[in-house]
Amino acid sequence: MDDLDLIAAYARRLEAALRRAGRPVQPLVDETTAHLVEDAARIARADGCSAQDAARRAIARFGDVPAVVAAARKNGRALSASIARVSSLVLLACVAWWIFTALVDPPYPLQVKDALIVNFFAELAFVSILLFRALDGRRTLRGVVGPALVLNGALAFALVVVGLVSGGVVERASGHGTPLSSLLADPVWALMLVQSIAGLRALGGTRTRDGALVAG
Amino acid sequence: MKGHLDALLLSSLARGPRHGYAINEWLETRSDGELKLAAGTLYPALHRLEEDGLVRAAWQDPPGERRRRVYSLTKKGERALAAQKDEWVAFSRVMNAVLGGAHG
Repeated sequence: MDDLDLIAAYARRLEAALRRAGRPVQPLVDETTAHLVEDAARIARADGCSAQDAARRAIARFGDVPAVVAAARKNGRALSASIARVSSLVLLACVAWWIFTALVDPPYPLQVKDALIVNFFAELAFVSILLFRALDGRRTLRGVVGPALVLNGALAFALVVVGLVSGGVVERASGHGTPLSSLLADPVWALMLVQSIAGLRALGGTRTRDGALVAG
Repeated sequence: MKGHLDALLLSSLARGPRHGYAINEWLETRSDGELKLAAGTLYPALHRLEEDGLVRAAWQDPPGERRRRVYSLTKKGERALAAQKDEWVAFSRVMNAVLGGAHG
């Protein structure tokens, strides 16, 4: 086995391990190969060792496959962050639509309760923007996004429970459907709950996303 | 040094675009060999910075040379680096004051 075979074998092991871990294979595998080939050539030139020894030393310096996969996992965007971002975007779109229909093009004369509902939706939009920005690394807002999500989640949880209970009463009275029908008809509370839980988990996870660094 | 990888990587690109190998080399040289970064952890961190919009990357295929993926700072990355530098200066000032005071 020559130096390029050793590096190719390492790249294949890395590719298989990344696939098993559900992490993207490219561009990491191609960059790894290019890095190892360059490092092996420099080691061979500097120390005058055989190409095979140089390749072995380059691979050892790069790190073993489990360590690289662990770094890829640690640095990958967490599933909870993706869920939180998507639910925030969907909620923002819903809020924009409701505000438009309630204020700009109301199907009926505007009443006080409509203004209160718009106020609530504006608060929900604010929380969604806060969360989206915080997950995007805007540090100035991180202090307030946690408490805002806890309040948002508590309100959403209460509304989901009330929706299920009152929906159950209505459905029993009408004799058809299930309590879940009320949630499916108006999924915003459940979506808010998902946004809050996923957002809090994602914000917790971003504190430990740094790659490993060794000071020698 | 854990927790400061982003600042180090962004700082290495503040002087111009570099590929991963050159970034690793620059960090080692710049720190007089004190900072030894396992290269296998460097690339995933660079990919995260790319995903966050702090750096951009493009494959370059110069004639007669090996194909490389070159990273450069974005405007957002420049702002993030400036913020992390300010934070580090404030932190080190506090640490110097406290640790220096222990001998005073």
